[in-house]
Amino acid sequence: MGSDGGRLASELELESDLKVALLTGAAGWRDRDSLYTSAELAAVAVLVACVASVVTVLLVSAGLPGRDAAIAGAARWVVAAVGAATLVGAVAPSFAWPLGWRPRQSGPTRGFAAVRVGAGMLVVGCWTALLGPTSPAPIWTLGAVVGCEYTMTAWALGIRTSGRAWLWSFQRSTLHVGIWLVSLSVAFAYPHRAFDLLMVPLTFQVIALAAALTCSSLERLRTAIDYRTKRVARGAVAGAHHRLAHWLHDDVTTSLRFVRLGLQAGSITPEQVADELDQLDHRLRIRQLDETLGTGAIQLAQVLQPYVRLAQAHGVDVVAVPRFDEASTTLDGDTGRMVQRALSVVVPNAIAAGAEQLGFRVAANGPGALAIEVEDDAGGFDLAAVPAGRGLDGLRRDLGTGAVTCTRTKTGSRLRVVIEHHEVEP
Amino acid sequence: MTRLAIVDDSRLALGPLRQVVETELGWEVATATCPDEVPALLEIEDTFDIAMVDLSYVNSDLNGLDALLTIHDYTPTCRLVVYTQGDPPLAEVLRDAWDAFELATALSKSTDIPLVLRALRRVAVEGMAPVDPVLQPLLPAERSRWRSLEGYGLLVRHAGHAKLWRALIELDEEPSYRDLAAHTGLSLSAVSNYRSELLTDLSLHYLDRPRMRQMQRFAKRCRPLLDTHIRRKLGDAVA
Repeated sequence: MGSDGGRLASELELESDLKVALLTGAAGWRDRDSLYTSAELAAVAVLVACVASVVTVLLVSAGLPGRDAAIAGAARWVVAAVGAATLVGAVAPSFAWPLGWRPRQSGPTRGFAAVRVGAGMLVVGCWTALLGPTSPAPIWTLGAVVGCEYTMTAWALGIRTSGRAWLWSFQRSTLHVGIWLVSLSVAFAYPHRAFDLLMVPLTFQVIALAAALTCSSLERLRTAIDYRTKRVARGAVAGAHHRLAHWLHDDVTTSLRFVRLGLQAGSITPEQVADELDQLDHRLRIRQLDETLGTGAIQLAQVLQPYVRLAQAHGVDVVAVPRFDEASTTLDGDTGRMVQRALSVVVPNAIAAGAEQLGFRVAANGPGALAIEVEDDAGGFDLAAVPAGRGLDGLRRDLGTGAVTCTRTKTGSRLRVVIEHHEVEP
Repeated sequence: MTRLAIVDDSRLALGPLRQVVETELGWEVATATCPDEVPALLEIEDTFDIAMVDLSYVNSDLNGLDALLTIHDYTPTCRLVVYTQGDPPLAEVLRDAWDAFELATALSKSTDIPLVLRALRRVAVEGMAPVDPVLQPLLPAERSRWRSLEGYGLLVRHAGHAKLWRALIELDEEPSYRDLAAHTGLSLSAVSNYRSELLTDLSLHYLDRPRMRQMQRFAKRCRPLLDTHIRRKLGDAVA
């Protein structure tokens, strides 16, 4: 019982905290480097359109005579400018975020929420002062601004919104009750202006209704986008599963069956079985690498790993590998594939030539290029004498003749392959 | 006689490797198939000279860091060796283990058994052995003191941080601010501010302004290393 009471108190506290949080705006709850989703960008577009509409109405109405309005003359321009500037300032973080302006350092505060509520009230005040008795009808545009801001903030906090709940929450709020009480009190005191005064709560009703409709519409849009995204993702996953199943059958099970049949027929020796299994192991590693390359980004260490293993599996002593800071470079998929291509030619060549030791090195080769070096002790060779059609020849044709160089060492050769490199964010 | 503990769920480690260590090195070997069994193993067998620990377990919610921490706490003098495939998904856990514990070496399961034996013998004699070349590029040359067992305390400076980390560990999916506030009992602003405070310190753990998802992955992965500090701070807060 006590525990339930404590939890209830905690939930109520959270709800009150949540209401304050929703008033602070989405930008206060986003990570500085986060990007808007499609639904959020759509909400920003609606927000921009609605803010532009409100500002236009304010400025146009400032130039009109304003029959029955509270103010006249040059003061109308001042009020319009104050209202427009306040609105734009209050929603500026939502506009600015997608453009890269992200001033936030710490979480939003109650003070910040109070400033935004104050700004909202000021804009409504300016609007009413300029438009007079006609103010409630077009103020739905300001309601849509409120709806956009509320929805985007709720999404940033991890909440799905509901227009109906928003409307009901507003009707029960102390703000709404206060507006009615003040309006009715003043109307009783000045009965001849009762109609004008009752326009105030009506104005807020229009804002609330427009905000609720905007919430519902944006939420529906997000549901539709989420559904479509999930459907596309499911299709992609299914496609990947099919390809994997096909490959498992073609490569893995066929290789194992070949070994089994060979053993049954007595046509292969245990050494050949071990060799077949080693080859299969390497193909599985390469496949694993392909899967990672398919994600569009890969660390250099991951590309190197299967080839270091391949050398070790052939009894080659690996005497040098890149340091952590060199090997943790993140490559884009194309660069990763090219590094893999180079290693798939150079390492098997060295093993086939009888290398007993191999060294792998990596170095930056000026801006935007990466040099991969593989040094062996297999006696050395002349790169110019490599016959056309061989792996190294193909590599030189693909990368350019100057990109592949070979240096003789005391015991073998050092092959250097320079590859264009575009580092990507990990 | 050297006493070796193998904590691994692979047939390779529990079968051929154990056999070869016993016959060729003449060591006494005891095994556990998952980190959950390590406390019982230490209760029965008391102490070990070397522990060889895998990092991932399909049959347990615990990981290799749990096993390494339990052994380290029980027998601080035991030489710790990581024995892993070293595949990309485990590279981060390997780096965490490398920085947090004074690992004697790290060996790849793709390495031939004679080379593994040579490394183990060297650990027994010299206290450490060179890291397997397959795993070397995954490990920094120098250990970061910020990522030592005590260094993780920097990430849990007060009870608020402790509550936030615990919520990240316990919640299933990428949590929202609201989920975190509901789980921790903290206000939304407090959750946001504590998270902002931690973002700078997380750069010492190779995380550059991580998103909530990345932060939660880190929390779940390094749970054993954070948990001591979390319990300490929450204990302090209660007291």
